[in-house]
Amino acid sequence: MNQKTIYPKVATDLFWVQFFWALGFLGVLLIVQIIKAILSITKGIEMNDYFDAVFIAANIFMLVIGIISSYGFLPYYVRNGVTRKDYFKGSTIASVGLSITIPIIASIISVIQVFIVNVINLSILKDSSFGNATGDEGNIVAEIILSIIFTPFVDLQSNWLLAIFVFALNIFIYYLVGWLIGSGFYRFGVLFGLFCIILAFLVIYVEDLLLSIALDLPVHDMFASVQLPIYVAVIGIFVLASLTLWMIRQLTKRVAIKM
Amino acid sequence: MTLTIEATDLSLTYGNQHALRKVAFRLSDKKIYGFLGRNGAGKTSLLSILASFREQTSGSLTINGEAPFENPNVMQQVAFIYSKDYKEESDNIKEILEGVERYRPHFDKEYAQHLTQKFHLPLNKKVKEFSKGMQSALNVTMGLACRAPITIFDEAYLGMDAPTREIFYQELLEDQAKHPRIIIISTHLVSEMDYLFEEVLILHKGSLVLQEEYESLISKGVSITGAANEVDEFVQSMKLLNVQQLGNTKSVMVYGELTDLERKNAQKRGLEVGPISLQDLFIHLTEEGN
Repeated sequence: MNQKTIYPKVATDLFWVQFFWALGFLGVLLIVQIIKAILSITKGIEMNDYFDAVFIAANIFMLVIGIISSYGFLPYYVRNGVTRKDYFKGSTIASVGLSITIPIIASIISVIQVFIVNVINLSILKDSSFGNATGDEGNIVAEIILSIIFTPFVDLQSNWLLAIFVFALNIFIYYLVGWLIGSGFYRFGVLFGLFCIILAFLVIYVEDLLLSIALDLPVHDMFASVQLPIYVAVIGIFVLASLTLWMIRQLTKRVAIKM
Repeated sequence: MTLTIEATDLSLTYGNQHALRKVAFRLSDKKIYGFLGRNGAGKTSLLSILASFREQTSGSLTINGEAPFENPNVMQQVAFIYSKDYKEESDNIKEILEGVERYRPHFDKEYAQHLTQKFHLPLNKKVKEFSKGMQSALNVTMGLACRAPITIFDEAYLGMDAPTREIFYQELLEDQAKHPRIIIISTHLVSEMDYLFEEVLILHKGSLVLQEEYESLISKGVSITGAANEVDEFVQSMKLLNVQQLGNTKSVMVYGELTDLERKNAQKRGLEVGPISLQDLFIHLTEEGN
């Protein structure tokens, strides 16, 4: 009765399904970007690069498809005779792939955008406030909320590799917390699900903090004196991601499939 | 290769509620098994353990000696078809069947196409726009065409109209003749489906009441028909399952086999002795108080 390993197949399928969703999402943002460009030229309104625009919106996109993963894909695969473990491995690999693909596509479109703007010499005003937001000094709740809206950001033109890396890391964490929230609700219902949302906020906040310190961005006073080399922050974020994945696995390992 | 399903002391509880109590059975032939039970008898609970949808609380269930839960070798062999809700499904049939094909090693694409034609299922319409009966027909199509060595239909016919159910039963019998496997059908539409079953298991309040070959099971009782007063006298000391009377003619279902002497006696009285229906037996065995 031996079958060959099935999780690479799950990973491939999940990657493509979510990739097509991502294309839809990127397409909508591209249309918005074009409209903004027209407004910028005609009315002089400030606008971001496409890369920056995707950077802001991709968090929520990844959070949502992370949640869908537990409610839609887990039962689907178990129904088709795939173990929870193979689904878990496949879904993890697919989400890594997706997290890398989205910023790459966004940066390519962004480069094309900059190229077009320069070639035809359009007068577009770049939004100068982006990436510099900080919370009210001393207000931790405001900071947590702001960390959801404004995540540590590296400008594509200053260091493209780092920019893509930070972007990928960031949306990967969002996917994971979405998956964690979905798994929490799926396994134990509303109360535990709400607890997972709080946990998710915490994960996002710590990731944000680690990244901000490493990138020398403004952080809460409490951590202002902390200095971390980037690799320590990256290791910290990987530990955080692993911890989140471990929690998801614990929640889904023996979960009963809803019918 | 024939698989063997074996349950020993299988129990499942949800909180304080006992869904299954020490159920034990063994299925080892490629045939159609009927799982009968009233609402809440524990049919779906039992079948969902078999399909690795959930784990039992205690006891064991094995397929060829291996526990199915999270076992990739076993899970691939088991298909669990139930009345799944597709209200969120924006894919069409073609896309859905392609998905099944990728994960079910024995899937027969042509047979699936044949079934979609038989059931008149539109290929390009979104599945969420299907009627309940059409969604059930799709479920059945997937279940039959995946040809899993253990295929479970858990009240998969819900919402189907009578002609569609008839197509399902015919296709099931034909495909089973060509590609024998273990097929488990859970139902409470007993009278309509009894001819499909080769072996019957009856669950009642979480316990297995009986497991028996269909033929020997229906010989467990007889129907006695004739003049009302003759019938009444004849069945006096017998266990009655069901009584029907039309004018002076009475038909009574009794539980238990007749002795040769009783048969001769019935003949003498001009009574007609016939087989009992599975439905009557089922109702009797799962009556309140039993």
